Amino acid sequence: MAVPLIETRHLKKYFKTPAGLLHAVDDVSFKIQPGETLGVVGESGCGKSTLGRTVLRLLEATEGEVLYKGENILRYSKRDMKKVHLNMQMIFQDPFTSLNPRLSISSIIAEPIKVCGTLKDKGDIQKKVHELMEVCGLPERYVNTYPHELDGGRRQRVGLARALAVDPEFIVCDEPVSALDVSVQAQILNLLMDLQDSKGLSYLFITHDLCVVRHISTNIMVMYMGKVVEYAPKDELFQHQAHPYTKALLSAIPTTDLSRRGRERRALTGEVANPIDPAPGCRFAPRCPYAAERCKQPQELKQVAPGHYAACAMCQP
Amino acid sequence: MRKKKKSPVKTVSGRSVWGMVWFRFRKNKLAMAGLFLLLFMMAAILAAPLYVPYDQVVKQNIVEKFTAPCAQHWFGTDQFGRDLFARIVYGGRISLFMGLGVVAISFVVGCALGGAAGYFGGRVDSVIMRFVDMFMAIPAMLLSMAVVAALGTGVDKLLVALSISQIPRFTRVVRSSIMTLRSQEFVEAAKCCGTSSARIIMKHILPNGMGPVIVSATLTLGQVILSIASLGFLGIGVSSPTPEWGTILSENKIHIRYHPYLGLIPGVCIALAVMAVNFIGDGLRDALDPRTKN
Repeated sequence: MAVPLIETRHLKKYFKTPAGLLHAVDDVSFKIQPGETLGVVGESGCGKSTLGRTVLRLLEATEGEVLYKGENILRYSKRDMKKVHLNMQMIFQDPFTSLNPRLSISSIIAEPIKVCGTLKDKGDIQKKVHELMEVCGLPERYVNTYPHELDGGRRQRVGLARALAVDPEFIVCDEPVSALDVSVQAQILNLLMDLQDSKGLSYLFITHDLCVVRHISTNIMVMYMGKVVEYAPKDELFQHQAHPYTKALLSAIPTTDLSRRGRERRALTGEVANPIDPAPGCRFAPRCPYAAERCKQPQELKQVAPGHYAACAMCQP
Repeated sequence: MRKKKKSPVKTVSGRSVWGMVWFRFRKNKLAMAGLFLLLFMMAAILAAPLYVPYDQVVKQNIVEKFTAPCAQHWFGTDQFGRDLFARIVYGGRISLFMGLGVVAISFVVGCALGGAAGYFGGRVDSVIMRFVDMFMAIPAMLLSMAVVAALGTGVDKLLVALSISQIPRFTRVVRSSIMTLRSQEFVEAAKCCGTSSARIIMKHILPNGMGPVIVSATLTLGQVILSIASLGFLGIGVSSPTPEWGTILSENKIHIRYHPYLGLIPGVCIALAVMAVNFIGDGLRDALDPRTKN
């Protein structure tokens, strides 16, 4: 198999709090091949966003490795990181705070080009900005408007154009559609997928919306309290969930199918446990209907089917 | 109809960022009035030697003391018969220009210190802020006296002394407005493409936190002009017979009851200067913010 574009090995990010260490991301490993999308799902506070930021080094990892084309970028100096940033960008969740309100749309999109110095000539930069706006479906007349004059969907397009400005290969999408209306969500998702086809982009797609993740992902990773509980190709995951948490999560998807109205729902009870200094065993155990004594042992990811991994004591490799 | 819709876009697209700021500033009548007033005062002060000889400032003429404003002495004369108009015009050199100079210096240094403290946080913040707190704990007047005692007297020393006493205020205001901005997503987006900290602070954070800082700068000017006067009264920096608005005000205050113009005129000058700067500050704050209507 070819070298993956992005790979993490045992990536950990702990935050120091007065009460102890908060395990935001705990021992996460994944691989993304060029042109693929890895969807990361989980409930609020499970470390999805922290994972995305740690991969881009917006947060410094506590332990582990992030490999870009086989090289560990966590050891890179600031200058080397600048080159890496040309290939790795990010789209943010809130289109209302992710754009600098003082800059016009064209300056926002031109900013990464100016900072990275990929283009020097003013005319070239302007040309590139117009090109990016067209690619992202922004009419040219918005070039000198300011973020507050645009609606959420258009702002998110601006955010996308900014991310694409340096022609990256990999984009971390941190809940890029969760702040948008459903009709606009579809437009942005389709735009992301079109761009993936035409430019061969890879995404790390963070979301809590299962329908969205099914639409866009190649592989899906389910996280719970900083740990990966299940990792599988999209269709495999939606058909054969191995982990009780994933099952509960997927059964929560609303359906419009009347014949399945009376189906069994595994609504979860209880709250997410405290992520500060958690016990070594399975972190889902306190809420798990199948929890047993063996769940107090640390759970490793085990292969349950080709390419399908789950971290549960019930799963036999 | 179509043409009408298109035209505003066209007028806007031709402008640079500062062109836009000027465009918005010009629409604010009060701000423009303030700007003209300030420019007029500065021009009158700078061109003073052309129409009043400096001689008039110090020449005493006891016979004509306490002359009310008339054709010969536009602003009247004081207790020594010195022409008040000449004293006001030459006094502005110190009051207005030193006032603006102090505000400018403390503004720039305060932005740099407060910017670094607010943005980096942690140890940098602690070191800078404890240092600034130290200066804040000493009354401005005492601090200025200490600086003047260390460096010697003179207008330039006074400038340094007053600037140092104003820096803590700016540092505090800048720091607090930056701390609310540094965790915004657009700052992260800037970090994401490897933007340097200096550029993030200058381009992304400071412009967004300028509002309260500009207001505080305009308010500081009046205070500085009065501080120059009180320091002059204590014999530090500017002392009689060198004219200066605050000094004129304080040396004439005992005669205000029978010759109110002696207090009124320098007072009005200080008030006008502060007001002009206030209007300019308000206009600038709005003009720098693209969210205000064009």
